[in-house]
Amino acid sequence: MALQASPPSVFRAVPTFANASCRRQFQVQASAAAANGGGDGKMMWKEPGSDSWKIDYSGEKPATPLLDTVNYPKHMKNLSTPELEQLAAELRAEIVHTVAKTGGHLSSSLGVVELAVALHHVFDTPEDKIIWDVGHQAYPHKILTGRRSRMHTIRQTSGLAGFPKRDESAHDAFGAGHSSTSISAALGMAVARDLLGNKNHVISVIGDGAITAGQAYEAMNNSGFLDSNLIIVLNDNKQVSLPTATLDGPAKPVGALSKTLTKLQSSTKLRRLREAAKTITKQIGGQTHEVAAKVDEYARGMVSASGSTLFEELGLYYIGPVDGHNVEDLVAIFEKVKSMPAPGPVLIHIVTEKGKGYPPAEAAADRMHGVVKFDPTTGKQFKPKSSTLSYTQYFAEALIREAEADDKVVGIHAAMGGGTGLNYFQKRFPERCFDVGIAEQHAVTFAAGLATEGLKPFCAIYSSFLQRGYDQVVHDVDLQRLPVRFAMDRAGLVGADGPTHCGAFDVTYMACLPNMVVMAPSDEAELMHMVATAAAIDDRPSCFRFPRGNGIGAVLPPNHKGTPLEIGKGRVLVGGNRVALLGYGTMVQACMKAAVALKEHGIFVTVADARFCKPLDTQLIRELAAEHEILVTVEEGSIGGFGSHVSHYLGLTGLLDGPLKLRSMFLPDRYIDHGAPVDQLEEAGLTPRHIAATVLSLLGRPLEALQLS
Amino acid sequence: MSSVCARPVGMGYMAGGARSQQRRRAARVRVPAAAVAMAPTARAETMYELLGVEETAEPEVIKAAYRRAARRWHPDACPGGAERFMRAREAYEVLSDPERRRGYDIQLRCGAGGGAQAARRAGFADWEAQLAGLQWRAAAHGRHGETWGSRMRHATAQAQP
Repeated sequence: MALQASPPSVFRAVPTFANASCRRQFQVQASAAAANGGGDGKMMWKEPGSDSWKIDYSGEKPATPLLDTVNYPKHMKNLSTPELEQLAAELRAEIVHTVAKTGGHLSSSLGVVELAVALHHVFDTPEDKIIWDVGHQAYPHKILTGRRSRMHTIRQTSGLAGFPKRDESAHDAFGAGHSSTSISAALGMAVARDLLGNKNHVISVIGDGAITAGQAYEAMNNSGFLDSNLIIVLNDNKQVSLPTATLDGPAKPVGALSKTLTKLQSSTKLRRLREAAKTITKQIGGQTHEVAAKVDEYARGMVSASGSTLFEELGLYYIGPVDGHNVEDLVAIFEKVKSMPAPGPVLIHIVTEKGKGYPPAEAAADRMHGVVKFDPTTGKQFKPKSSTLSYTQYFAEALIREAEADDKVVGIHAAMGGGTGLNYFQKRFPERCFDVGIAEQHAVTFAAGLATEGLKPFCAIYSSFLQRGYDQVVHDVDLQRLPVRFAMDRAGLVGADGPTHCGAFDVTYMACLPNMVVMAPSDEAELMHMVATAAAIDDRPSCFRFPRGNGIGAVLPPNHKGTPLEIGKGRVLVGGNRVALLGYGTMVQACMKAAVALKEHGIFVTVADARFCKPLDTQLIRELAAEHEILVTVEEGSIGGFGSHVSHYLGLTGLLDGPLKLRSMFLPDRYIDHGAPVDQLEEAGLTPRHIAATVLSLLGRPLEALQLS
Repeated sequence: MSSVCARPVGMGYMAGGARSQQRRRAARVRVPAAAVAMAPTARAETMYELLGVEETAEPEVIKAAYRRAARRWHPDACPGGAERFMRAREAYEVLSDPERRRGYDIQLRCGAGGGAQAARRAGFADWEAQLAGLQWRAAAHGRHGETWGSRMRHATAQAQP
């Protein structure tokens, strides 16, 4: 597609919007040639008589003449308000067409297009710091800060990250992936600025869902106390929970905090009271501003009883709610706050619509939050057909069966109904499924409380998100030996989301706890059995981990109800001699493939599935050690996990004093970048080829190891 | 009054606020009929009038009224009706959302006329007044040095002659 930047004179010759009779002649022209081709060439036009742009999504990506001139924020400084609005429309089209080809997070980015344009017009990154909470809405920010040409590589191997990343660009002030960290980081940057005597501005953008997490309050409380200059933009799209939370769309707001936000949006009467108070002080006249400020404070104190000044009680000055899609208003507010010398911490509450400007996203129940490749005209996603379901769905199915058999089974998740599969559980048992909001620490202790009264709580939290609630796991659950069951989804490498979402550490941090039962299924049938096993373990906490991805097609138990396994007992899948591969979790599948590859080299290995990391199947390990020369343990976890436990056991029992060769294969001691799952496994060295190569090397046949395909 | 207007930073701001305050005050105090007749349109129609419903209308009634208006004024059906269509759409968006409807009702009752409409969209806040309040607070609290931030700002200001 030939992108010809228009010469400045052509652009300036375009008539202004105020003249309604010119509306038919108004055209966005990249060049004369482009305007003549394709009918009357209009892909993007300004709706006559109103302020909004209409974008035609059918057909090819529209020409984006203004966006073509913007590579960095400094190119936006001289744009007027109509030009900024046009830029926002072009950005929207760019995002829709890019994500249509790559997949990623769509609607959250669309909701903050105007905000991103306003922020970059007013502030000067990288000196000014803009911190995006969670970061999946940062696509417009990336496009405006020099990465437009690489957007087609987003979330792919060696491409742009799907979240802000400090290594990627100086304009990304702080890396993100988990939620609610932005205000804390922003406060740190603001305080550092003050200590160093700098003059830059610090802005954090946080959503209404992320602000329900405790860390956001810890940060706001501290900001109010320190009173450092800081701007917090609260991006409120009234979702609170992800729109994928239930099968019917977004969950109703999960807590009292959202009621506060709702009240804030409508308490015009209360604000009028304060404004009236200001008028009165002006009329008193001849007075200093201290009086005016005091009156304002009293007026605010008067209205605090109604709960609309939660933020002000924390010490933040509240402005809003403001229309988050009105560039003019946003620019005016940011300019004003920027020009004030000592505003302290300011919270600007903007109201946006998730997926704004792209009709299929606005209409969808899940708002097209996370999408795979789709067709821009219709919004229909090209979901690959698979013969098996995802592990998440098998887990949800198994849990529902357990709950049907036992009415003490309850499910808890932290604002991830869609991601953990508990939206199906919620549909089936609405009173037994608890969405606590983005509050993993609370979820764990809440589950502990449920367990003390005899219920059987299943905490479904992603492996990397459970890190946030780790002290609660240790102190509230394990120390008191309470039977809470943890279902850790997204264990191991997760592909496009990258290291922020990678569940590398859960084997390590769970298996070191004295009372925890730690298990991992090798396929979806084993997963169903482990759900049943966990339901049956009633005297101590237990956990099991399963990866992102689809099942392998194992034969499922009848009616999808698993049977409890014998605790601390693994199984041997394939018998062989000389070499034993002891896999943990879905790595067993890779071991099986390695065994097939090694058969062609005349080597017949034993493949065993350990099933349990704690308690270890010591009898199995002793037998494997006794009957084989070489023992290789394989897991998709960090150091300190399954392999460590096996090696400690062998060491303690003296089995390492003999002829046994022990090797452990686990994730390397570095963070694996985002990319396709096969590429990540390749980089981690945990593919079947790597396992087979390890065996061949140990057998003294390194040349064949190198020649493996 | 001069001392209020003396602050250079807020000058244009306060003046603008004072003017719009006056306009609002004038509206509340029975403006003589002659002044009203001079205005180009008698009074901007409310969103309820636009859709042709009562102020106490049920959500279903509002939805039906919007559907009627949409069919009537959609640009495909009625060339040139785009503006009325957009206004009907905006009216429906505000009136169908209970929180925004409440805010809009309060605005109507408090007499927010055409003058204030420019600064505020239906259901949203008057951020200009809020920003003014922020300036006042900053000016009033600036010198005390009770908070870490104010002490640091003071120190930075001192360090730069």
